[in-house]
Amino acid sequence: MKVSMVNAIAIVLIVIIAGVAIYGWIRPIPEKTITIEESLEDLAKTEGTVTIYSSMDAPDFESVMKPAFLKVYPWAQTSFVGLDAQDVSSRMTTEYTAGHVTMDVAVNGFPVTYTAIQAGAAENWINPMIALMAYPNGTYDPQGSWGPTYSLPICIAYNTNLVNASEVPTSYQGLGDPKWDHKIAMEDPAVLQVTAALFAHLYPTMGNASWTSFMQSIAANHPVLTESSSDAFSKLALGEASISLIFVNDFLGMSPGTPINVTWIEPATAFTVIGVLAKNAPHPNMAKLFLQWLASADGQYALARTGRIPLNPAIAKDTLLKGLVPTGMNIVVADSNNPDFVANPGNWSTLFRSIFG
Amino acid sequence: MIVILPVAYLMIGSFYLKVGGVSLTFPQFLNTITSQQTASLLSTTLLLALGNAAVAILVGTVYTWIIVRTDIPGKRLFDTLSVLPLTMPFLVKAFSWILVFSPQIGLGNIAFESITGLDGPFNIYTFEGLIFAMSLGAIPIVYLTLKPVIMSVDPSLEEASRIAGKGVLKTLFRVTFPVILPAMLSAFVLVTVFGLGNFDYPLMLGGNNIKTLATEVYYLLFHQLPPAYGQAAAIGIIYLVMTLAAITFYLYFTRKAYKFVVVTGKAPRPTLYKLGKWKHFAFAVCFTVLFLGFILPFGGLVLMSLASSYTVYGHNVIVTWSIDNYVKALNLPMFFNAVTNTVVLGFASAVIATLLAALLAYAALKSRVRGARLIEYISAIPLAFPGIIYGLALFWTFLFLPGISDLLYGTVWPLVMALVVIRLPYSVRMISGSLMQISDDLEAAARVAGASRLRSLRRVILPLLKSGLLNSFEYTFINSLRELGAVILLVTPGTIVLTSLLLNLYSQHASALGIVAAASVMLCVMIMLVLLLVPLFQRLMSWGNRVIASRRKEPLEKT
Repeated sequence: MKVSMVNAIAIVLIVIIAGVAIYGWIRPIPEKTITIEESLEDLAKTEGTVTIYSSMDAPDFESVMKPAFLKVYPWAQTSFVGLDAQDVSSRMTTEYTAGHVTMDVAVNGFPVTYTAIQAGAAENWINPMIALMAYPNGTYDPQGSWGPTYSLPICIAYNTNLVNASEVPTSYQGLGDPKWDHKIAMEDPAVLQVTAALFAHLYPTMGNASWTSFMQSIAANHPVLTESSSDAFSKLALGEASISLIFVNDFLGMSPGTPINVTWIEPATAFTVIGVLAKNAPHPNMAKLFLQWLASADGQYALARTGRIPLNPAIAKDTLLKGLVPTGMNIVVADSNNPDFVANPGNWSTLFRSIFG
Repeated sequence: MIVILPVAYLMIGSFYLKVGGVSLTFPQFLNTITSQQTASLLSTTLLLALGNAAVAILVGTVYTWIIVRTDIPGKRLFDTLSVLPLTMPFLVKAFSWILVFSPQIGLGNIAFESITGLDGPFNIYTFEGLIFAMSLGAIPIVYLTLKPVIMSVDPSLEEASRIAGKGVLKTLFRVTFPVILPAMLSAFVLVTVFGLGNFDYPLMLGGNNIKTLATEVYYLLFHQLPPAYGQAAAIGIIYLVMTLAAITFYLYFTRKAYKFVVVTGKAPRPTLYKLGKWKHFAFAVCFTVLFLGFILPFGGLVLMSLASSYTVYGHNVIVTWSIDNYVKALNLPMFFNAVTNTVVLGFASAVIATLLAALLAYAALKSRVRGARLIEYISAIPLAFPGIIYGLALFWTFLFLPGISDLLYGTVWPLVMALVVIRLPYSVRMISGSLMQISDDLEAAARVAGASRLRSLRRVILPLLKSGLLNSFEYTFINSLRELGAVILLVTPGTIVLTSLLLNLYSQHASALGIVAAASVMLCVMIMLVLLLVPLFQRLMSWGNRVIASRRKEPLEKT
């Protein structure tokens, strides 16, 4: 029987393919153990760089966080953009809407960033470090839309040249005392950071009537409203104000000789800063690697070196909180008892504006 | 296109683009522009802007005339230092004013109380305080606009008035000021519009009591969640209407442009009035303007930069002196990158804005094409919006427009465009003021002699415009270095500029005030060096022109 050249080639090819298939079927598949870090790091190496947008100030990131990250991953590169919390959130949302995302990771205040998450600008990803480091509930989203970074406990600060320690209020309601008229500097609650988080936290326990009266008493003292806690601290340090509500890291990072001291009032709260993986991030694996590192012991200790309280409770107690907070005082996550504040921050911004102007 | 497209995109996009799941509806749009709150904000904004412009024009005109047309001692120094108030970024300048005139800690009040024993009267946190701060900052704009015009006034007009028996003051009011009136109106329009859109001073010094449309826009963009882009754009419409009204007034008053022509074929040599016994008084007036406008706030800034800690209580100022802030500023990880980006962007935007402005001004004033004056309207559109709104418009354009976003978003070009576009109206006004004084006969004579349009532009018009062009370059470069509002939304990892770095540091790091002050002092010094180089460059150009002219004569002499 005559077989054409073409048919012969086809037969040979079929035999080869069949042979390979049979071999693949009968060959035992070796078991490969893949660790989380190895596979993610391998994938991240193909990307090489991560872009972080954050409300953290650039020098702290560049001089502390970046070297610590690069010590663990010397092949990596980072790009950092420091903006106000609102800017980070609106940039995240707008870029996602436009379909032109440049950020990989956002490290930003919780209520402000949650708006961007609600708009769909965040990728869900369960950070394996959360389970490994035993982060408590409230420090991460179980669905994976945000994860732990650091917290900023809120305290009362006073200028020691202008106020004696005995005069400082022992309750939040004390801020409404007329003796503090024109003497309070605080971040504008409409900015939805330190004061907003604290006031929102107090709302459920005080009730609407009592809380509204409390807000109005503070407004009646004509507080100087600033764009940030750091700005309020600056006014306090200069002597333009006598008392203020600030993040404790402002106090921890102050220059020697600054006449400021702090005191704590219960319930002591902390403002949460979260880490978010941007949806459609240009470098998703590098982003995951960075977020994983940030939640690790190494990342948490690096954050402590910048004067920020690590969100991991054990590391927080081992670092900055040691000796800073009175024994037995618990610091709770601000606004953790106010789901409406988390879900509808815009409404609260409008409410605060109507009270404080 | 670069002027109209972003504005159109912002206006239309605010209705159709759902950013954060929110877009503007027409009822919301109407409600925003017709609400009582908006009306109240509008009246405050107008009062502030017009008050600021009135003071700036009054003081600025007198100041400029004294420096340009009299034999005041230190004339050249005053000329160089007059634009110094422009060197300080708004953020730190506002803080300097607080250091000097805050009712609680202001050094001005402390000094007053120490000397007189009475309570210090100064309070920068008032309406009057705002006008004071804004008008002092606007005097350089008046100076840059009026200087080339006052220099170009034909001295024969004033000589004729003097010969007729009129004194200096009568000549000033009956001859000189009417001639420079269009330029004064031009400066008034510029300063008014500048005041309408300024949000830095009302934000930092207005407190809860003084709110303007610009601070409302800032609130809508940066305090609302999600940002109320649509309502901010709606307020932008109000700005557009106000600015177009202002430009219309300006064009109406300067319609008969030839009436004000004073630069003709005869080269003018401006009269220098001898002040005689009034010399010291005039010097005191000019020095006071410079002192209040620059020396005082800059002094406050230097004080902050040299203090590792600074606090005031009672009449006591407690300072720990140190140069640490400068060391820390120089060691900021992104400092040199930010400075390089800032200088490169500033230079590029100054060159492009000046060239564009010269072309636009020439087309608007000298072209016989119908609707040429429309170019002036269009070039003024960026004036209509505060920098942050125009920055938002450009941000949307570069992010949402297909094709453009892939090519340009994340690069340096959006920032260059933002800086060019927001400064273009000022450049056009500065150059228009000078161009209006140049007779068409000069160009006609060149054309009759056989020169092409381009050659007559290059050999006749541009040399006469030299002063206006340099002022435009100087103004755009300096303001680009300190611009924040228009660029903050466009900054990306590779394009950090100094002002965004300083803002980030100031608002997120409590003890960074001294470092911010130190970096700002260095920025001011950098700008001052540029200001010193510009006259040097001018003299170099003149020397070069003389050399070229003298070499051109040689072949003729040999034959």
